[in-house]
Amino acid sequence: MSSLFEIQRRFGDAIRSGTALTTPGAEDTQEHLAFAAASVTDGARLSAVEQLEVYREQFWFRHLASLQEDFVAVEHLLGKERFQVLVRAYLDEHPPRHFSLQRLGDAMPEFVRSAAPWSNDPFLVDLVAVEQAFVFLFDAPDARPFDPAMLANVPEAAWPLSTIRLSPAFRILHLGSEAHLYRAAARTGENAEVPERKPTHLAVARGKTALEYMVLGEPQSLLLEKLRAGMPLGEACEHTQRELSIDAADFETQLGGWFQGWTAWGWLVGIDPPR
Amino acid sequence: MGFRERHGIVDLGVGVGARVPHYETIFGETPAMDWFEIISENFLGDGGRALEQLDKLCHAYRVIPHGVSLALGSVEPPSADYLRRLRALVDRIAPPWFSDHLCWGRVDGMDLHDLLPMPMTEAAVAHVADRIKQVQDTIGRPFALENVSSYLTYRESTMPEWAFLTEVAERADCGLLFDVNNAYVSARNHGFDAATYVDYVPAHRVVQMHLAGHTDMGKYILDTHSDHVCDPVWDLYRRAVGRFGAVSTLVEWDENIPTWSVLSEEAARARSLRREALATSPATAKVQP
Repeated sequence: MSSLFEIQRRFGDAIRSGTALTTPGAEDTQEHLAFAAASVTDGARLSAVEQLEVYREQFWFRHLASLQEDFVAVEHLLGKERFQVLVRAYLDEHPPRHFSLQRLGDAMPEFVRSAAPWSNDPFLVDLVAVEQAFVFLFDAPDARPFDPAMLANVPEAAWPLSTIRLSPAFRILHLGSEAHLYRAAARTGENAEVPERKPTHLAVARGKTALEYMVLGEPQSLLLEKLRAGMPLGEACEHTQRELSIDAADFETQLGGWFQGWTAWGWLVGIDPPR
Repeated sequence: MGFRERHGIVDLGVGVGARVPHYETIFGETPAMDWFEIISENFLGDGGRALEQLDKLCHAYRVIPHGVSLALGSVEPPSADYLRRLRALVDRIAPPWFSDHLCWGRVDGMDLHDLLPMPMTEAAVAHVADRIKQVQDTIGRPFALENVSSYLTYRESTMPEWAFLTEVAERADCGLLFDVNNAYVSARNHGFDAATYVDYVPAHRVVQMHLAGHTDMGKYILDTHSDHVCDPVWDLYRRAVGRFGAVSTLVEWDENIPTWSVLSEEAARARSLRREALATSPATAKVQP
């Protein structure tokens, strides 16, 4: 008699099969057919293998449908058939390991970045990153928006040594194209065209009522990345200015406006004075 | 004293599943509805609009969380993270019970996102009952176990589904969420009489019932929640109300989601049928053991 774990392990293997269990003579299903013969009762309407196949079909249908919902623009770009090939390859490499289907595509950006033939298409890599970021932000943690009154608790002289906390529902993507425009067009049924290659720093955040995005200049993008990494404000400004060879006076002039914008958009959530 | 009585579980009437396409109507017009069921997993994230909307829903209506990921029959236990999140959700809603399914769905560190059937054996009864006790202790509220639709039977099974469900519930001392459509689907797929199922389960443990539509695939029927409740399922529901008495009922509709008015008409039909069945049933005065 098989143990409960053994039944579940073999059942799980069978329903993740990329080949229909009812395909005559398929070599890669032999072990699953043996499991069906040993453990599943033939029914009046469905044979043992056909019963198992119902669950295999549902496994693919459910996970494909979830990824179709998350990656609408990617499916638009690839077409239905190639998208399904991508999903099968992805699920073989990254079977679902989280209770939430919302997390099913978490590893998709890394997968298309590293696995051929997908990795050979830089626009696809960008587009996957954009769509996955929107999914991630949907239920990312909440954070109380930055209250400018917090600044009153930090003496002005301590600001350069303070660190700035960014919202957990905020991300910056460094793309080789304006893939977000393609995403928007594909999702609204407009004519989506693959844009020209163009370095793009895209801020994506969950706003008060919707997920929002904004293209940033390189200085803002670099400074925000340094702040996110925990670099003190003064040091982050100095490094950004030096790395991008920005005139110090120009940089300071823009800094105030950037902070006002970041606060208004909810990207900043706190300031921690030096210990 | 029966399970419902012991836990002070009352009849909430007839409700529907809260689904996003209806939010505009629900939050904009606060239509009359006895109660709502939510899918727990849709509200286990760290933040965002889903939790805001849940709070609004709970402010206006009675809400019961219904899960799909406990996978009580899996040998692998649910993750501590999942249980922590579920506990937080249940605490946020403070429902009279929470529910999930008699199935497995997790193996080798994978979550297969399906309600997979159990071999109906003594060993499986013991395993699931222990798991339910642990979950009830962790979450701190009465738990209701739902029968699933199935498309497969195991050679190793030694008892019929209704005996398996009953034995697990008795040993775990938990409630039951009797899904009328699931009983019908499994009966059709495996060739047993669904009425036998209704007549067997311990009535005092049934705290809720589900109604839904399904899809005829030719050689089998699939539990899709994509259509109106069919007449044989209404008949079975009438029988179930006759046995279980006034038990909270919920209409599920998850695919091809209709307009709010169609869904609320389906709930109204359940309400009307339930009223008729209760008026003519001896179970209305006293819950059968």
